[in-house]
Amino acid sequence: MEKEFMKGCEAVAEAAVRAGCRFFAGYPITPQNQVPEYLAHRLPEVGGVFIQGESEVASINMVYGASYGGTRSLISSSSCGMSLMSETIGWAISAEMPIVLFNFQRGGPGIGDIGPSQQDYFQATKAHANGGGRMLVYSPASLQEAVDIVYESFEIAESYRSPVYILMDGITGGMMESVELPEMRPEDYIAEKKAAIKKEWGLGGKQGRIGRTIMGGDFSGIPLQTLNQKLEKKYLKMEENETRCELYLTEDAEWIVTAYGIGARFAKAAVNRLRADGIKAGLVRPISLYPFPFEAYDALDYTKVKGVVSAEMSIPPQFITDVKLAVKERAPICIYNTSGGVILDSIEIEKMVREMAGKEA
Amino acid sequence: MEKTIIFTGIGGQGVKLAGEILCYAAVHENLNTTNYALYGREKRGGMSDCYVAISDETITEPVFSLADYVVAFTTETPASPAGKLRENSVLFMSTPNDVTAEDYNAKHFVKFDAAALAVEVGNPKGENMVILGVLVGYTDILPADVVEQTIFKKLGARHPEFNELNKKAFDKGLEVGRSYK
Repeated sequence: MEKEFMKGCEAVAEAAVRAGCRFFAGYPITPQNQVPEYLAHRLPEVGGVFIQGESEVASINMVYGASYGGTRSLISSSSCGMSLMSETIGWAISAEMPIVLFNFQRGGPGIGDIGPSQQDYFQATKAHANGGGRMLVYSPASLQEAVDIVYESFEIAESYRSPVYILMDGITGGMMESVELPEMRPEDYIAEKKAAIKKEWGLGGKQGRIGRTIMGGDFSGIPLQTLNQKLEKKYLKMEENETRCELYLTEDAEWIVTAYGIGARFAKAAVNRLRADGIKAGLVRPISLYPFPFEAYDALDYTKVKGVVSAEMSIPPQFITDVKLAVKERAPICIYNTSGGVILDSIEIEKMVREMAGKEA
Repeated sequence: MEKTIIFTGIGGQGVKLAGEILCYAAVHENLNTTNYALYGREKRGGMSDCYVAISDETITEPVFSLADYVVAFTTETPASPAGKLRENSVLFMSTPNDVTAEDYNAKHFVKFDAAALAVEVGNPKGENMVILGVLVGYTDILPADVVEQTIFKKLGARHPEFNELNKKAFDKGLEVGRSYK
């Protein structure tokens, strides 16, 4: 299929439409405004519904409702906008709604700024809402990977009955790159999926059966503990089956650079230059952030690995917490992190590895 | 072979548009390309940088602190373009001011006044087209006719009446760029 040179926001929005997304509600916030801008004209073209809500809170609740009706539903926002939606995201986890969420991270905490960042790592992977609920979190490093993940995410969300959270950033949303878009899912396929959800657990009119009640969880005589045990089983299944990670030149690597999302592009550039200079560097790039691919770090040969550089666009660093848990003190770790719209610089990553290796450029 | 370009100016000068046109021209030539614009909150007057990479191989970094070509739309950028130069980078500087290569520690320096040149060809709004022309004329990074056709395609789709004016501005830039070779 022919490649198209597209802006990140538009590419992932189109991928969602092709995956069968037929409902979007959202409220404007930089750097993801091209998502609603694109879907405002694109969704009606395919018989879908686009709503600009009066707020983030209203929008996520509309998406929650549409999801209950079996419609593949999407919400997109950025950092502080995601915070406003936290309560309903918690409800969606509890009620097992297959919603797809985009977060194009900007600076924080609070209002932050509009520059790119990776400061929502904890929020996305550890606790987006009260009650300790989890959801699948993926972080793509290129527009092609973002498109592919978005396309799959609606299927994954439905198979687990769980929200799927795609953690991107201001660069991914704003940059332009060539992508190959997937095929549009046929209307009858989308209708079939919707009908199945309505039949199994969604709302679609009583149709002769006993009526259903919309609740944050199934508390009809069942203790909350039972629900949480059920959810926990689902999280364990995710941890067993859904980890994704790219290992790049790690087999003989003495120096590991680890980074996620767009940050990994800068890490890879540093690895390439180090390799060209004879320094055995490699990259570990988690693609799924929850579940975190701990086993990828276990697979490294620590008889060879002399040090790890962990890079992220967050001050204080957050991703490092999982990296430390994964490396388990088998190698020293150095942190390179930026914030406030300051983008990671591959030159600095390279310099840090060289310093650890005691080899100047 | 990968070439990296940073267009740097202030919001409203058409920095991002110049970068995008170059990318679309690269796509036409079946090359890989990335484009990312970093700008401030202001609609006009704030910082505005556009990062472009063009390569026949996979592009790893869409943003970089140093580039092969740094194209400054003004001397008034919040950060000096000097900090974006490698040893062999070329600095393109559009300004009416009396600045020199030494001011920026630039080994290769192409100075011109795009605003004045745009006025000269009767297209005062075509400053960024002049700048694009200088870059293409000096570097031959992409065929000039392909870039020109891309300008027509992207800017002339809704307003074909501007094609002639944009051509004049771009051609003037090409002439200046080639004269520096």
